Amino acid sequence: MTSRISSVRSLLKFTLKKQTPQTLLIAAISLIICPGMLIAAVNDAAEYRNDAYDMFNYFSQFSTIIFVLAVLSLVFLLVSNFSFLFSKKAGDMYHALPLTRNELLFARTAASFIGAGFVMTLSFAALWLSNCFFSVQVSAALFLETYLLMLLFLLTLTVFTLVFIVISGGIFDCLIALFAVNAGLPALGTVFVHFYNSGSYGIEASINPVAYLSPFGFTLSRIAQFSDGILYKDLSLGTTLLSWLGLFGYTLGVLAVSAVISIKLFHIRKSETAGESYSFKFVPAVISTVISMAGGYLIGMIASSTYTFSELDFWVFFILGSLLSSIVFGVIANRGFKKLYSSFIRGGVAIVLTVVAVITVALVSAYNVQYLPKAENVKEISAFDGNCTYTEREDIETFIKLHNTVIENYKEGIFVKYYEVFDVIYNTEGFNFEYVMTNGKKVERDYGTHAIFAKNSSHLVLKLLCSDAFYKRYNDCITPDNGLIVLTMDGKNESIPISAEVAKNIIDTFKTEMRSADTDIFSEECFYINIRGKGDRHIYIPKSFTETVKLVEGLLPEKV
Amino acid sequence: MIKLLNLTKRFGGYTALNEISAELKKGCIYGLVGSNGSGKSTLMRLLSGVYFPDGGSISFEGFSIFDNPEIKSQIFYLPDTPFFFRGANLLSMADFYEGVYPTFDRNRFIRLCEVFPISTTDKIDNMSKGMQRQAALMLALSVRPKLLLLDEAFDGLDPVMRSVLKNLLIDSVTENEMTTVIASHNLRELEDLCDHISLIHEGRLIFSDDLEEIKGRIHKVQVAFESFPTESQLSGLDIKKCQRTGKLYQMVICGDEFEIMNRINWLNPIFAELITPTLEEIFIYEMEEEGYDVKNILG
Repeated sequence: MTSRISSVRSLLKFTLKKQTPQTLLIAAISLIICPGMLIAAVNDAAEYRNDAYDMFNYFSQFSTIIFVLAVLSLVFLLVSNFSFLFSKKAGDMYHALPLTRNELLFARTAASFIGAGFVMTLSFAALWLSNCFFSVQVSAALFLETYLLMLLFLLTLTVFTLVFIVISGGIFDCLIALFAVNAGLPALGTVFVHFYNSGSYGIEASINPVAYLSPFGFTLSRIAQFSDGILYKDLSLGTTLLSWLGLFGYTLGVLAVSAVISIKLFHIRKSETAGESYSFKFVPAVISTVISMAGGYLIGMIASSTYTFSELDFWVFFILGSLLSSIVFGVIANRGFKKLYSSFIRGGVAIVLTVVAVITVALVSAYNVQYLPKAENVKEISAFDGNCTYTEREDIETFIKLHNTVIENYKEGIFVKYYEVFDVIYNTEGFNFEYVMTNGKKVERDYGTHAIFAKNSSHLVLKLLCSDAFYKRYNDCITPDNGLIVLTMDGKNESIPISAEVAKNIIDTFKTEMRSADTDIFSEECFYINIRGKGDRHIYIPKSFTETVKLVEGLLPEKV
Repeated sequence: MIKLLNLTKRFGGYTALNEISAELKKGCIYGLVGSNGSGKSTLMRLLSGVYFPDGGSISFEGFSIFDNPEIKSQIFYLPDTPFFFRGANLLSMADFYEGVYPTFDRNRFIRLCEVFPISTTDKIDNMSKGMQRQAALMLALSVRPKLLLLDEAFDGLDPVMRSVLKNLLIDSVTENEMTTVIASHNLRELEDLCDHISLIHEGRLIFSDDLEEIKGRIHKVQVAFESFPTESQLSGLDIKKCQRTGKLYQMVICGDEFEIMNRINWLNPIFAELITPTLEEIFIYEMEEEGYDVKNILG
């Protein structure tokens, strides 16, 4: 056993020594960028900005750059250290060594991770040293947390990339597979999310395919956000804990699954497949499908000048593009024009899969769009940027009725022109609300004002604006902040201090006039004021609300 | 020591080795001969644990070889084109093997450096093919394996180095009971060195036997007759081949040499002489039996 351990250690040591020149070269490049480029950026900024020496301006950007460099060096070292898998001569030697496959895999992977980790650590240490010279410094805690997170992400990407090396028989094929999965899948995900959003008015799919369909995208986005100090900040404890769980769950999940797959596949990988494009029969089929779908979409989009699946032109070019992409990939993978027939079949499979995906997304989108809750299952509705909460049964039923009407308006194309609507509620292009169900589930919708304020639905909006719940949103702005409430008016520069009584009077008058108004107010020009106490609220007052307007204009100081 | 039982290896739809069964004993030198593409290198790779079999089994002292480091540490495989790390010299390769093979003998390596005229500090990539092979052999012998697999051992070596290699192999077999398997087309060298010969053709083991026994089974007879005997007169002789030049006949006959000569003499030849065939001749005769001969190939 002792000699076995020393054999593994010896191979690891040997690999580290062998990769030293490449590691040092990449480390040198990394140091030129950080702190080299950091110093240049600070010098540039110092001429024009007072906050040039605030490390927070640079930390996120350079942390991300360091991580990117570490990942690039990782891919390079992994490909270099496992190049014996791509050569029959080298493969014979390595596979004949008195090491198990797992030991061989471990030694080479560990050496690659250590090399990339060294590059990352060196640059990060340089960043930390630079931090000491800034007048506004990033805390040691954030530095350490960011570094540890980067190490974990680097380890995950090491094992994830290993899968692609193990399934490939050549460097070029390995890079194609890596690119196809990590760029192709997120691209396809983005296309389908966009397709879903285009058909699902009111609903926006919140998933980010780039982040979740590629561990590279996920880790990069998280490092950028984390080092910015904004990730998981200002959230409730429960939400923060859940978010951390999601982060570690995804990362450790990818790490575990990749480890199992790479170990298993490396163990059964036939050494005689060195030099062939891929070592397992299923791999070209999978890669070809992704490439055909993505390539077909790209060609379809360019050739038909449309990116929607609802145009016939698009489908014609998509089918041609898909077949072409499959054939090109087949020619590369088979090193020639043999097996053209199977390339056609794979292209056909990609087309069928795309059709199935389009139909599925369209059906899911259509189903989700039609969703209407029952009033008895709704606990409350949050609307107007979360500043209003409707809990009364009557209000909930009005909301559901409005929601139903809006769905019909979208289906029938019943909209008002943008210039026919003035923003009575607030200055925005959309109307957002969220159902909170009795079981805790939340359902969010966001519709355009052109559908909300249609003739058949605006009376329902008016009813909601007359509800007491709507006016509770003004409670904080009419509460003094250090004894002060300030009113600003449309077109006037001065801020007018007012008393809580006056502020309440304005709101009450506004409410009274709203309750006797009709839907014509939605096409009226509005007079805008802002009241700032403990809270800060805009109020758009239709010019026909004469009492409210008079009240507000009466607060203007008299001109001398 | 090593048992092969119905060993099969396929590459896609092509069967490279088809149910080969054999046994290799300790302390012997085996020659592995066969036509091009017959499966010799495939068999070597299976013996070294580089490939895993698709059928049958292969065991070293009762243990499977594939993914078994304890067993593989006793086996050294030298392929026909040895691999060296880019920019490596002999010393760095020795360091690598010393770290990985527990039986690597540094002292032996130093002694071999004195025997072979190879620089230990020059880059191996820059050496000639023959020198690279010498370097590989030095490393292989320094590992002191129990089983040494040499694919095209003599390829690229000059006659002096071939002689050196033979002596070193014999010394290793004598000292350490090392078993050696040599795959080669150089049958003359194998004839001098090997105890056993195995012949593979199209993935099948045609024969595997002691060299002396093989030579004792096949004989070349030069005989002259006034008139060539009839078929019935020649019955009882297992004649594989017969070539005529005037009254002189050259025949390849299988069987016991005494019985063959008795039979021939009974036919009253003018002249009869028994010649021991070379391994090369045996190979050609056996291949002709399998349909692999010059006439068939040229058509």
